[in-house]
Amino acid sequence: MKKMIFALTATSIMMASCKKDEPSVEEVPVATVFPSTYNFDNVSYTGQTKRLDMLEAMTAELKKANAGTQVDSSLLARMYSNSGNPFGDASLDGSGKQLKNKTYSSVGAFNASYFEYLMKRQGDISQFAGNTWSAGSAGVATSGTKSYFFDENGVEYTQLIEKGLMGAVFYYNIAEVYTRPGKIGASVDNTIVTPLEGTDMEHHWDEAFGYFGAPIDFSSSVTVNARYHAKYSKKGQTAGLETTDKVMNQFIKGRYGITNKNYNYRDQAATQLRVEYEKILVTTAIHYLNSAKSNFSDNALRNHALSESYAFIFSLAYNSDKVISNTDFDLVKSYFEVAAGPTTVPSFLAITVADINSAIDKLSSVYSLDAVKGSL
Amino acid sequence: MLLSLFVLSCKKDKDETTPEFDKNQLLTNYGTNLIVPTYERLDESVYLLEVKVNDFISVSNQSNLLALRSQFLSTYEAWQSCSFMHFGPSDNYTLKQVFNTYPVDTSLINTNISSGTYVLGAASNTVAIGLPALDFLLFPNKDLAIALSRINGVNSVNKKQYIKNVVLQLKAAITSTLSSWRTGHLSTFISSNGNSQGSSLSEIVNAINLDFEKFTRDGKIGIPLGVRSLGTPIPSKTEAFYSKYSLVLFKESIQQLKQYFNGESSSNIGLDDYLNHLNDNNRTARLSTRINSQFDIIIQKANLITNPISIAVISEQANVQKLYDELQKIIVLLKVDLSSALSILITYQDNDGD
Repeated sequence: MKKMIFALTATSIMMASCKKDEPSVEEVPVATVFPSTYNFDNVSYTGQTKRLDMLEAMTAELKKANAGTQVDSSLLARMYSNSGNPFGDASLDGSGKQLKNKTYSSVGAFNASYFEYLMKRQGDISQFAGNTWSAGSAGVATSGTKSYFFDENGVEYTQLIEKGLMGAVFYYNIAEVYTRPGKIGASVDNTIVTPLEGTDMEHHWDEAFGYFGAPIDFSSSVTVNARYHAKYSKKGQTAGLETTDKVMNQFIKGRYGITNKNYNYRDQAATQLRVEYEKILVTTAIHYLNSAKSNFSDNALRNHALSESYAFIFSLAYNSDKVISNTDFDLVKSYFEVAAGPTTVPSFLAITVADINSAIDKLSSVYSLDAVKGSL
Repeated sequence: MLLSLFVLSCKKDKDETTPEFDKNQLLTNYGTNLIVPTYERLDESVYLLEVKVNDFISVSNQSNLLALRSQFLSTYEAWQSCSFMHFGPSDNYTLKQVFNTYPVDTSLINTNISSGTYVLGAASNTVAIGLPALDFLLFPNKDLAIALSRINGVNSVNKKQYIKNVVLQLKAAITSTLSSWRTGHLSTFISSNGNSQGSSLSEIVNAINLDFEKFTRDGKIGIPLGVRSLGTPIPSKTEAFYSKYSLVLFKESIQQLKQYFNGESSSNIGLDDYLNHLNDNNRTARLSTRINSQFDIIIQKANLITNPISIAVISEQANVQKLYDELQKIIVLLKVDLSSALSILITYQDNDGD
């Protein structure tokens, strides 16, 4: 049983020590024991669960290219906006929910239009899914039992779209919408309980939790049924950063604070949640960069890993409090991109190990991960 | 020394009699006496290779080609033990990918040579570099005279420059790796003496297993034999295919791995001693003994093969298959028994499933 104990004395030091046999002189002062799971009254995030399911269906369609089949880009577009019963599943088709109108859509390179462009292009170029990939020609590259469809530059749109929407919908709504004053601030009602949904403020926080992809009893030791970012939090967790537990604990602390009207807890948790959540993205990005290095001479595995890391890296942009500066963000991104007219596109043909190391080193120094960058 | 270890330790059982295994000594031996000297040998060997390439470029005759070929083969031998030490700085500079990715894409190499413009470090060129590229370029024919006339034929200036650039890339990679070990990584390696993920012991054991499974069993033997192609042999996927040096390199790699496992050096403290210390006497033979015997059996089976592996997978298929079966057996000992005895988690299988 895992409890988070907030105590401001020497007790925490004693816990870290090996000694057990000396009786403690001091008693633990007043400490809040937060619940060990996200098990509160009236928790509801069905809308988020629907969107998670929708992304799963879209990913399945995108991955048809890996098996040599052309992808239906108009179906993808309809799935994205949930129009014309695209899922063949009444619980999704008739849900009134969609991914598109929850996608970051303002200025910047990685907005809803960008994802629509990627879907269109995946449909267009996957006519070549029957070909074997080579530098300069789209097709499928295979390594062992794994096959991936890449564009002519070695970019796997499936990853850019799936991991990118995890950023542009899930992370963006957590970091910029549901943990901000507009949804949990003083102007939001926290008194009137709607049955099964709690107060408005509770419900907003629960919606943030819903985008995480975790079961309510998720922890580093209970990982079943975790998906999306919850699943990826294990990279940092196993490298010793306790990412899984820290993110989960902030979600619990924030909901506890809201329900008990302790707004210090709520505000601390909102800030800290964004900090820890950002670590999920950056540790996963470094993990895939390491993988790209380890598999540098394997076209399928290298390009797949680079596509994954590129999407996790550009997702850092969806939080206005991101730790990395815009200059460093652009620098890291630039290792994966080449100029294309007035803009840039991802291309992994000319990337070198030195480029990958530079990206890792920049990220690890910005996020103070130098000690663990090799274990991610 | 022992005292300080006890102070650091959390153990309280005062009546425990077995002394702790001195992992510091183990790691010191691996780092100082085995890993760094292995990289030094490779560094020295690549330096000599560069010298021979320069000699050959200035005077492209048979005797210089012969000297270059022979230095190439001894560099290829020196490479073998680096393959299973692939972690830390070596991983950082992707030493294994730079040195020994095969089979090479010969048409890509030829395109690069005729265009004369290429970046060898680019992702698109990973199958056009390293020792396998030299293998292709230095052995267009077994016969020295014929090989020389081919090398001196079409595009000879670009071709020799390409050979030199490949060697320079090797040099840069091993120099950086070695210098990283000398300037700090060695002490990091020795001090990281736990057995959790990322600890030095975990890196040693994981690197041995990954290399053995993927690059020795599959790369050197299994794939040419056809285990990934429904039993149809693929001779062209053999290591050192053009020089036909594959069998020598294979045996060298097993012998070097055996020495590494036993920590053979002036101090001689290896994984075998650690296993023995852990007292697995509940079996008829100690695990360290079983692993060493299995290495010997592998060498015996390899000695039954008379041709280069690329030829043997066709003409002596049964013998190669027997060798492959013995390689499978040692994987159980190394990946399951050894790792669990040392409480090391095998982490290289990425089980993302996507």
